[in-house]
Amino acid sequence: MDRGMVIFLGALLTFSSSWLGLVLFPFWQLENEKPFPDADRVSDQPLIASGSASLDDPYPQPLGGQALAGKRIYQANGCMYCHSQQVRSEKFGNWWENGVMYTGADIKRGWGLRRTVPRDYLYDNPTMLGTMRTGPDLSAVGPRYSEQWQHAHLFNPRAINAWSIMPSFAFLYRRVKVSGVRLEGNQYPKLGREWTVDPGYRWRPTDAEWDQVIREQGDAIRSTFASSPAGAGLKNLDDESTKKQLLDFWLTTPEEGFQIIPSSDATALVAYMLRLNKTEVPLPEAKE
Amino acid sequence: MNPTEFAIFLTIFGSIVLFGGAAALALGWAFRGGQFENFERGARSIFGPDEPIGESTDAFPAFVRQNRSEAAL
Amino acid sequence: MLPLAAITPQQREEAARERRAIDASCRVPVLYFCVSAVFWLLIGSALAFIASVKLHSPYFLTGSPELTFGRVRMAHLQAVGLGWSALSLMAASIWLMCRLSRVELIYPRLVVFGGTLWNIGMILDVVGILRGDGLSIEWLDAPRYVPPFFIAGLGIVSAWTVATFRRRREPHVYVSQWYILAAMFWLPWLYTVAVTMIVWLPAVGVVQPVVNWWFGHNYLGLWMTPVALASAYYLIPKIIGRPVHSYYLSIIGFWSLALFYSWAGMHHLIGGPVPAWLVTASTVGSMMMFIPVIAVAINHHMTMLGSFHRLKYSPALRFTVFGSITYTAVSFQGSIEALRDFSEVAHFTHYTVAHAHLGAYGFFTMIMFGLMYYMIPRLTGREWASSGLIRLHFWCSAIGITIYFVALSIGGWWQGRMLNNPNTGFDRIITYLLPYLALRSVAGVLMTVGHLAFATLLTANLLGWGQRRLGGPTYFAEPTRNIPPIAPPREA
Repeated sequence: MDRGMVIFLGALLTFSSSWLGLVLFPFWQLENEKPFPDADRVSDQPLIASGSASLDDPYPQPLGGQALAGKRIYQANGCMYCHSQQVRSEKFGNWWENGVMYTGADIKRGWGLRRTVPRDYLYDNPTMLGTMRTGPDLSAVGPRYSEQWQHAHLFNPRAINAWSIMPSFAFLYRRVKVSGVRLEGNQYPKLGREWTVDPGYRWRPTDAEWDQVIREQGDAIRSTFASSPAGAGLKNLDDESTKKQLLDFWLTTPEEGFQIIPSSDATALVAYMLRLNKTEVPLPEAKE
Repeated sequence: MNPTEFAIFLTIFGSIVLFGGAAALALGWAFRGGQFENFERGARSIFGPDEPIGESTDAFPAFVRQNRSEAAL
Repeated sequence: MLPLAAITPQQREEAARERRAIDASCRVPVLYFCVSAVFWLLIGSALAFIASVKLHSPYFLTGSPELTFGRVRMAHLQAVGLGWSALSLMAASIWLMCRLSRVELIYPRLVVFGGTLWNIGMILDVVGILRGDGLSIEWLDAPRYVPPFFIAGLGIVSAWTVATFRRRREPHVYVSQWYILAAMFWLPWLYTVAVTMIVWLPAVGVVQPVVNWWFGHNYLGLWMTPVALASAYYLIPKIIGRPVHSYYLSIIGFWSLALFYSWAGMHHLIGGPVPAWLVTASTVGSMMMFIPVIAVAINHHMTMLGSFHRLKYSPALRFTVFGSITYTAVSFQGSIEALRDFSEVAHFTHYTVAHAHLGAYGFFTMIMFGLMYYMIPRLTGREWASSGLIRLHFWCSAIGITIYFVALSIGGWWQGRMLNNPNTGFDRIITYLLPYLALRSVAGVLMTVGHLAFATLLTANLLGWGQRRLGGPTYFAEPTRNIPPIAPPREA
């Protein structure tokens, strides 16, 4: 092999074969995918499993507005590196229990009603299938959680699941002084002060700070505590062990003068996640 | 197997025959052209009078002494 | 080839002069690429450390969007995958191509310019990702404005490598040159197609992940692997003074790699929403990879046979052989991982992360270290300043990657088994993984210590600390009597 041309032609041919096979063929096969219902639809197919889609809306629908902006936030923060967006077949993956083999953990975990197929990703750009499941799959996360849950969880996942290793996205929120009336709505996370005072971390007062709180607002805290389920049976509110319970209780109550407000990025991100529902429509090709 | 898949299968099979055939032809051409004569000699092309076969060319600095030409000076 | 005894001092001096002149001609660009590569390696190590710690201690450096896990994860892959890897292997390609073609590098400034474009791209890339412009396309996370810099830089380096080859004086084209030429031709094609079909003119839906993994896997298979193999094919015979075991095998290895590696990659989508034939075709490619891997394994390890004691005396050999043994191991593992049954467990877990690092670090990076240990003294004319630091580097890197691989392989495998059982909650999976993730951070620290040792050695060498070489043959560091003589060459 003393000729450069041999190497060049060989490299060209071998690589063309893979380019043709792995790039161009799939491209030709998939570029003409149409939304459902399409011309091939058989009329007796059950169309809608649940949710908002109706017979007149083709599935899938492109993202728009808030959800589209939210996809950009999802992308910029690399959510895909821990959360996939693909539900695998009922026959995929196996586990044994009492000597019996079962398959299809994805669907049984409630990550989707069926496996996802190419058509579900028609308007995804980029298509973030993901390669890692440090966290759960999000293809159909929309119906699983409420808006309020999503905000609280994003603000600090450990406020919801103590074992979670997901990063806190408190930097997408602002802690502002309440002037006048407290804002109400699903977009305002309702969290105890232990999560909001030091956004992103879990806050505890120092002994001195706690003593000062007791001096200043002790009576008010004690009376709320006594009327709460946790403090109902307790009589003496001044011994040491009860004092610790009092602190724990106080930390779970919201801050009086402050409120957590989502940035437009946080609102958009949650809008995107609420919109994720890839397995809603039972596509014929997804049948197994 | 639906028609699309069959067409793809056929095309892939066809291209394997095509590429494989081209590779076989190229190999034959290379043989006839004498590209493989004395082939193993190529393995020796990286050596030279200054770095001949049978001499090592790398060692930890702790193991080395003055270089040859300095020693010769 | 003259027998050893028949070489006259004049012949030796003449050949050495030629080799020195060639080394001197590519000195500036190659050192520039090396320094840039090591810079990105250090940045990549720092980012890796942050990302790794965050996975077991989520409160670490929380609070700023720039350092959130997802962004640091993307920036890490770019810094090591496109910074360290690409720049170090460009350095390797230029130097090897000049030496093997026996021709001096002309217009070295052009190559420096190409490297600068790449470096500008890298800075925009890493800073852009941390500031929130990342694209979340694995291996192609670079913000939209970065690819033009990469394509231009790559185009220059690649064109100049081919141009150097065209000016060759050596009639024989050595196996390392085949690999380098092919890699320099493949990557520009691969990268341009991938960026066009995913970023600039995005293809529809799942075609994107298909192209993404065609790129991601071939970046390793048709860019990093060929150049690392080229380096091993040159250094192992060169250092132990013995030609490659079987030159016929090397040609089989090369062509089967070209044909089959390019088909692998779709196993990253096993079980996913892509046409089944695609994954099957690709799995066949992965299985066929046994052919080139075994060919290269026989060649490298048989060449070494009888010379393993030399690992004690040569730093470059030590790193290179570590890398080539790892190549055999990681490729076998990779072929098996492409099987569906295996992927049902290993996919989506840290097992894959362990495998990726064994390939990119245990194989590729170690071979690049080996090459730099051999190449840089010949470019600067100075010995390495400290044997101790070289040993520290080797052992930190070798033990680090071993811990990394073992910890994440075990943890990842059971993570996969647990993920497959829907009755196992995420709380249990996460709690189970924590010690393995912590062990990964320890391994990362070890590897980073190694990198710091290497960066120190490189700086010292460039600053002129270290035994000076005054003229003489290229092989200026003659072993003392402490080193046993090398095994005699086999009969041709």
